[in-house]
Amino acid sequence: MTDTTQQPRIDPVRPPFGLRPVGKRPRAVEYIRDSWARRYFALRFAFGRVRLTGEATRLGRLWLVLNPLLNAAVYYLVFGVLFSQRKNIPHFIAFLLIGVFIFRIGEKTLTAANASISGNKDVIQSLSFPRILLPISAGIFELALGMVSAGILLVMILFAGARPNPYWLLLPVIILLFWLTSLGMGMILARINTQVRDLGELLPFLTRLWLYGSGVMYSLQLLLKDHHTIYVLISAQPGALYLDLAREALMGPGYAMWWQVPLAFAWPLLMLPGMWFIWRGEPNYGRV
Amino acid sequence: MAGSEDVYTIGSEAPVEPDLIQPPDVPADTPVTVAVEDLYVIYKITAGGRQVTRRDRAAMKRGRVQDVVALKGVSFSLYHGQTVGVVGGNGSGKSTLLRAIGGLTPAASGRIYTNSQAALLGVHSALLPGLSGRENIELGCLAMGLTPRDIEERYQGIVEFSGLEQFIDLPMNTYSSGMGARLRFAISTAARPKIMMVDEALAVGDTKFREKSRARIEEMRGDAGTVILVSHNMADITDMCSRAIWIDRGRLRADGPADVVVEMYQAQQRRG
Repeated sequence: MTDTTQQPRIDPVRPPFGLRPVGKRPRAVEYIRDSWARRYFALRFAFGRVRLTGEATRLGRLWLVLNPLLNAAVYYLVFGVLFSQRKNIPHFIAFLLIGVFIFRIGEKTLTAANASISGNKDVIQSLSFPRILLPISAGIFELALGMVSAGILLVMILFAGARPNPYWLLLPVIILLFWLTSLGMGMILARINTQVRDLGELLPFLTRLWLYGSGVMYSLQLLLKDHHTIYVLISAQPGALYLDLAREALMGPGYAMWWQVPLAFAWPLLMLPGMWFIWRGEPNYGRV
Repeated sequence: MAGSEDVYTIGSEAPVEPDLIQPPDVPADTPVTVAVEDLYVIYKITAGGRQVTRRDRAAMKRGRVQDVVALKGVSFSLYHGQTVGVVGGNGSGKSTLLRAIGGLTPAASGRIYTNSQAALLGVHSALLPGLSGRENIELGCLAMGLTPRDIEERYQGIVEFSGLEQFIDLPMNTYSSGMGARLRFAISTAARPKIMMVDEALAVGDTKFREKSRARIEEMRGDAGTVILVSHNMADITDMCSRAIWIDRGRLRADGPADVVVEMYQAQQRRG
């Protein structure tokens, strides 16, 4: 390097003193440390977006409640009236509202995380930070909105005949666990989505399938009463599981099974493979 | 996916010797801050679900569409205290080069080393254009890795430098492009990056702001930093840079004193 008559060549084995390679995946420890150091960015990015929600529409943030309510109204007509679920399920309106509002939190988190990297091309091509902050920030945004809508849900089910009890305090915990699980799954999708964009087209159908498999607007218990094995298997998947727990907490016993409780704490471990998978995709997200 | 004959093989083309390589006149022990060796960046047209038209697809079957090779074996080293201009026509690979140095676009082959994270100041929009200038300052600084306390300390300086005191609480999407550029410039320099890359960001500012930005760039260079400046304004390059690099269709065409390189580039532009 002291020879100024020619361009210094880089020794591939021993990089020049003090220089660090660019565009190499950081070690996991560094990645976590760097992500933690920028945690306020993820938070502010999420809450900045919360502030901007509904600015484009006349009814604004009212849509946060109107959207699931209208959904619930359609399901009520189709499944409650047409398929007469309202006769078979006690407090069907409360049952349905809990299903729609809680499921929506998981579904929106999954979808938002999925699009968080491929949908932020400008940010990725101008700022350098651990990309895992994007799905996390997108998730925080959905969690914040979800917690607000859950509060509104409680008021609504009061009118639908549910009675408050101490178990209602468990609802934020159930939502948090469901959220972590959905975010973990969403992270895995997010990286796949940067390579195979077709996933974005496919996702609405997958979440629809998830919705029907989670008993949002009907009781899986009644539907599958003659197929016990299938019922147990389907009740173990996160959608059905957290809805069962939410209904058990809000409407009283008869919705969940004991083994769903430990499983509810196991599913959020999906965050670990999710985070690992996102980290492994560095530093190639700039290609989107 | 493209057939095998469509895939660009690195180094498959005959090497093209640059017209000029004149090593910079720096003291022998000056540390290198950015080292780029034999850098290739390739954008794969078919990958990533990018929109491909029917014509593209037909052309691909006939083996006519190749990967876009944005950089073809570029090498150079930059030193402490240098302001280096990058010149070249549209689509020659200048912005790709900056993004690769910043670690934002991955290299297909070759190596890049830097002594610290290089910050890119481009013409991109704000993080959340619907939020106020104030909130975007905070958000931009957080994204660059500043702590909330750092931001508190530097906030006033950023606003003053941008000269947007009266507009700071308005949403950024109400700003003119010049105002937005001023704020972004102020934000980017607030983190005091050791390596700063300016991509055409001075072009939209007014005369007064350009003077201020020049002073700020000079200041950063003085703080033992390295500034890389992409501009189509040759006066910017010759006034601010001691050295310039000419990138022509992904290749390093010349690397030497700014006035010499600019003259070569302009001569080629005149020839057309």
